[in-house]
This record gives sequence, structure tokens and C-alpha cells, in this order.
Amino acid sequence: MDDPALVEALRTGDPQAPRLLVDRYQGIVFGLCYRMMGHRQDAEDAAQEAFVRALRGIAGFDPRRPLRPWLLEIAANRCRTALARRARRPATGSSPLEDRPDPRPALADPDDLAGELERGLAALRSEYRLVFTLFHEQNLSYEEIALALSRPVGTIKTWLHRARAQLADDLSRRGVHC
Amino acid sequence: MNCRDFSREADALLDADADASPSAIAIEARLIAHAENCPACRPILNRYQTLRRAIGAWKNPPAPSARLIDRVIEATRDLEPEPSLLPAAIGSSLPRARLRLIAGLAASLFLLAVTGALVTRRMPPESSPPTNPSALKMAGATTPSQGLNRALAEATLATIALARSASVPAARVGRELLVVVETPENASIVPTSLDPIGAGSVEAVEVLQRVGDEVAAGVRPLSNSARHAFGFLLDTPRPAGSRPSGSNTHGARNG
Repeated sequence: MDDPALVEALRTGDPQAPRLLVDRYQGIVFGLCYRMMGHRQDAEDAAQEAFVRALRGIAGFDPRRPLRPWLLEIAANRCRTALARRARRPATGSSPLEDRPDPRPALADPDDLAGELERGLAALRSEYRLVFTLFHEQNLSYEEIALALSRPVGTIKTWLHRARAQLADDLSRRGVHC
Repeated sequence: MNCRDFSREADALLDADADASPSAIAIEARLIAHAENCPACRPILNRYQTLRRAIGAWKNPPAPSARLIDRVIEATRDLEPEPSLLPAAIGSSLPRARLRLIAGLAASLFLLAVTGALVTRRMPPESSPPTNPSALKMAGATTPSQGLNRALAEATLATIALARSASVPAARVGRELLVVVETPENASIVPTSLDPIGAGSVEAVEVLQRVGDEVAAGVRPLSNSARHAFGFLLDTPRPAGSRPSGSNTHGARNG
């Protein structure tokens, strides 16, 4: 079922359509939320809210529009709201590092390039890091990232270029070479 | 290629990698050819090659838990209106999702219409005031008409406040429905008790259709709590043959 047919199924109340929507897009929506929230549970909560909002608003959605950027825009808005709420809450002492990936190098990556890249990403400005991960990890296009983050495409390209340049320099400074 | 183009071409190489585009091979060849003859660009190429390999090793997007789908479905189930059926004359040509919205909104707006009509004492002369025991008990009144009027007045105020808080367009549609039911020609559709509305007059059907159009255009339906509060007004399916489809049942009921 392609996206226009899925939208029509959602609008006509097909009981299987919501599950199909979530199954199809949960990876990319959660990935965006995880990169924005930096915390797995918060990312799941934001992803859940994003899908609920989308399902509630599907009646007003223009089926001629692509579905993926619309979902990502909703998810990004949910994350921004959650981040603002989190900023107003007093610190609870829980570590923001608890969701870091396993630091040990994998067998398939004996030089731990992935880990080195993660360390470099952590040092980037948040918007550069977000654009970099959306492009290279989530495989979103420039246009989709621009829609999700409500920024012009030119800004996204600039941010991505700067992120790459800084990461390349950072890897070199830390002696990571191939 | 000159040095000024080099970093742009390096970006293009990473873009091509992301798309798994065959152009990556050609771009890389151009970069290598330039770097072999340019000491300034050679270290830049080395850094970007390291970055390319790091990206290739890193691409492992985080996955949500297996429960996310179930959580979303449960959350949206709580938002769905109570199941209801509109009379076939109204519902046959409308999508199910719109029918549910219309049913919930129409039920709530009908309560507004009924309480407004009864409180302003525009009931047909041959009908008698309802003597619903629970309404009397709720009002704590000594006479049936006093208790009922007080209870209906309170319900009207609460309903108006609810409609306003739901959305201004929804309240406007509610007022339109009030005008319809208060029109003398439509007096027959005002029930003599608080039974759920069945198939109404042509004008009422048209208003309900307009309600559906408003909802489709983005008018928010009333909240889930409103639907729960007024759910008892929703029509329940009647056995086949118990009432002719598409007929004015209130006209038939009143004789």
C-alpha cells in the first residue's frame, strides 16, 4: 500500500491502517526523536505523541503531500516542546549519558571509527549534529530535513557542510586516520 | 578542478555515498587526481576519506522498542469517539471516520438544542413536560416542572460553556442547529423526552451534513470527556424493520 492509499485508509477508518503507518515510519520518527532528545525513553514518548497527533490530524492532511516530511515535522515539534519542558524542570540527577552506545569497538569496526565519530558528534553544535545524523543516519534528503526543522534548504546544506568539515578535522586532530 | 571547488566536491562525494550513487566513483577519481598534484588539498582528501569510512562504520540507526506500535494504538483508541450509527439516510454516503465525528458532535449539539428549546418553553402545546425521575432527583425540586427547568437550565449553561471551550466554529454550528429546531415548521423533530434522535427533518439532515463539512474543514470536535458525558444520547442500532429508513420518525411518532 503506497502512502496516498495509506492516507485514504486512515481517513476512512480502516482499523489496520494506524498500525501500518506506525510500522512503516517508526524507525525514522524514533531516530529523529532519539537524536533530538538524547534519551531513549524521552524519544519513545515523543515518537508516540507524534504518531498520535498525526493520526488525530489525518483528516485534514492533503494526501497529495508526501507523508514522511509531515510526520517528521510533527515529531520535531513534539521534541522541541519536550525539550522546552525539560529545560524548565529542575535537574533530577539522572545522567544524560545513560543512553550512550556501548563504547567497546565492534568486531566489524576494530578501529572503532564509529565510536570516534560519536565522540566527534558530541562536540558539535546541536543543529549541526542533528542535520548530520538526519542525513547520514536516517537518510533524509535536504528537502525533508528542511521541512522537518522548518529551515531553508540552503541553511541545511551549510550546516551539513560545516558539520562534516568539523568532524573531519576532529578525527584528524585525535589521530584517527585511514 | 581547482582548490576552491575541492571542498564542494568532497561534499558531493559524501552526498553520493549517502545515495549509493554510481557518481561517487567519478567524483572520488577527480578528487584523487587533483590531490596528487596539490599539497594543500591532499590532507583535506585524507580527512574526508577517514570521515567517509567512519560514516560507513557508524550507520546504525537506533531502533524503537517493540512496544511503540502498541502504545500508539492504545493511545489513539482512547481518542476515538464512542461507536455509533447514524441513520442510513445520513450515513450511507459518508466515510466512517467522518460519521463518528458527526455522531459525537451532533449528539452534543443536539443536547444544546433540546435544552435550549425546553428552557425557552417552545414545546408543542399537546406535549407534557418530561417527568424523568432522575432529573427531578438531580434538581432536588418539589414540583416536577420546577426541578426539570432548573436542571435543564444548568445543563444548558454547562453545554454552552463546553461548546465554547471546544471551538468557536463548533459553537456557531450549534447555534445554527438551535435555529433549525426552534423553527415552528421543525417543531415535530423536538422530542417529548430525552430519547436519542433518530432520522430528523430534511433541514436537520442538511445541518448535520454542514456539521460534517465543518469538521472535515478542521473544526475540532468536542473533547473526549464531552463525548463520554453525552454518549447516552447516541443512537443505538434498531432491529431491522422496526423503523422505515429515511422516514421522518418524529413525525410518525407524533402521529
